[in-house]
Parts: sequence; structure tokens; C-alpha cells
Amino acid sequence: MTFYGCKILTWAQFVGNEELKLLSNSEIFLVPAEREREREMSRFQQWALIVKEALDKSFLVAKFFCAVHVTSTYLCSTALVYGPSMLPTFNLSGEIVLLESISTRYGKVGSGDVVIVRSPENPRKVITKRIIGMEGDSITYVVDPINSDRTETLVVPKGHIWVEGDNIYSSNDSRNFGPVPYGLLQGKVFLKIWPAGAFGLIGRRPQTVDPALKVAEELNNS
Amino acid sequence: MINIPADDYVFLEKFCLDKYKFSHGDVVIFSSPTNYKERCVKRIVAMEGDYISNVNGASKVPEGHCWVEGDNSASSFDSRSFGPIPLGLIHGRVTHVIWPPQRMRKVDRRIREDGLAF
Repeated sequence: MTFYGCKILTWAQFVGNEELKLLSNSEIFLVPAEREREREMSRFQQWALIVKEALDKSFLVAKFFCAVHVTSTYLCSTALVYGPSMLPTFNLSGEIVLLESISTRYGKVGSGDVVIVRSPENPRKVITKRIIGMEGDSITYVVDPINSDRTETLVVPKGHIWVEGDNIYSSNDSRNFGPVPYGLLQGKVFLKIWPAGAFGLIGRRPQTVDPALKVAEELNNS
Repeated sequence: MINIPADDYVFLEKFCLDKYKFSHGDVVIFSSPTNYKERCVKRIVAMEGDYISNVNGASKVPEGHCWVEGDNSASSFDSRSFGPIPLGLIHGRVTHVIWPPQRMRKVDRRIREDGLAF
């Protein structure tokens, strides 16, 4: 095999050592035109490698978006709460809160929880209010606190909840549109995350209790 | 209910939930207002702003609500019992019955002949 050994050596000197690493043993005996075709093939393989890497990266991005969507729809998501109806719990200009939908799906919400409900007056809008009473509770509420002290009492029907804003002077809530079916609940608010100065958990009691509300509250709690 | 003696499986369309745009005669699936865990399937008979004739005159369907009734009026627990339902309770619009095979068909929009305009 000495004759063949010499041929391999001369070919190696001709093409250079790097080329020799790419070519297998049998290819050393190929003629130049076929070697050119082999180089084209490896270019196609390189392109295929790039496409595969691009597809892998885009699948990773797609998986990330799927995870975010599932979490946001079924577990925990964020909402921007603005408006005067929940003062002083939430301020006027807007705060970002975290809400979780697990409690509402399993019926684990109760009086005092701040919840986000789909508005019964406009299904494309969601509103933030506090639950005052669940089904079967007897609710006493101040009908129009700005003008009078008149209160009314009713029993919350089956499958419904009574919601009111913490700031009853400026809140469009169950006193206007009546008890809300439980199926409209979207989630329970549990944490304020923005602005950073207002960070904190949302409790089951409003932060200050209006004296006009005290009478109604005492009647509710008794 | 739309003439369903045994369990039918239906295909539900959710694109209508983007703008909550429904029409008279749509068959919809919604959470029951008396028990949120149950889902009911009924037909929309009146939308917001329409008048429904009651035993004591006519009442207007409030904004954001709709009046649903079952096709089999004799035995149907619908808006005649629990009143108009908020559109936010609706989960989707029924387009086809997909199982069992002998009942496969498109579920169409159907408006009752007696009408409801007052």
C-alpha cells in the first residue's frame, strides 16, 4: 500500500490541512469538480443548521407566550385600577394590582374581598369593587349618601353577590345595578404592585370607615 | 333547550366574545345566574333595549343584558324565571352539533314568528 500512501501525502500538501479534516478518506480520491459539489453540499448543510436554530428559538418564544397566556387566563394576572370609587384603598389616578382567579373559580371569596367583576351594564368593561355580601346575606345599604341617610335592606339572591365601592359617595355599584351574578367575577385582588410607594397586600377591611357607613356596617355585622 | 333528549356535544364559537356582539336568535351558552358552576344553553330572544311582554305589561331589557328563552317553552328554566342575564355571563355561541353523528347539523339563528316588538 505504499503507492497509495504516497498519493495521500501529495494530495494533503495540495489542498492544505484544513481541507483534509472536512473530507473523509474516500473523498481524497475525488476529482476537483466533484469536490466543488461536495463544498456546495456542506454550504446547504450549514444553511439547514441556521434554519433549525432559528426554528428552535422561535419555538422557545412561542412556548414562553403560551405559558404567559395560560398563567394570565387561569391563575394570576394584572389589572390597572383607576377612578374614585375605591378611595382610599386605591387612588384616583391608577394603580396596578395582581389578581388571582383560583379563589373565584372554587367559590372561596367572601365579604370584604376586593374583586374584579365584569360590569353588568357593559360587558366590555371590568370594574373593581369590594364584596359586601354573598348569597343569602341580608344587606343594609345607604341608598344616596350625598343627599340623605335613607337606608334599605334586602337579601342577596341565590347565586349573586352584592358589591360596593369603598367610596360610596362616588361609586356606581350594586346600589345602582343590583346584585351581580357570581359568574361575572373575574378575579380577587390581593396585591398592589405599582406605584412602588403603595405596594402592599389588600385586606378584607377598607382602610378607613366612613361614619356614614358605620351604622350600615354594624347592622350588617350583627 | 333545542330538542336535545340525550347528550349532544356542540361546537362553541368564542370570537363573538371580543366585542360581545350577539344577534336575536343566537343560541348561546352562559353560566346560570342562580348557580355559576352550571352552564345553560338557550336562545337569545331579546337584546338590550327591546321590550318583553310580561303578565303585568311590558318591561324593557336593561343595557348590557339579554333575554334568553329555550325553544321548548313548556319546560325551560330561562329568563321567564330568572330575568334578563348580563351579557358578561355568556361563554360563547353555539354553531354546530358535532356528536352524536346522526344529529350532526348547523345550529342556525332562528327568530320566532310571533315576534317581540311591543
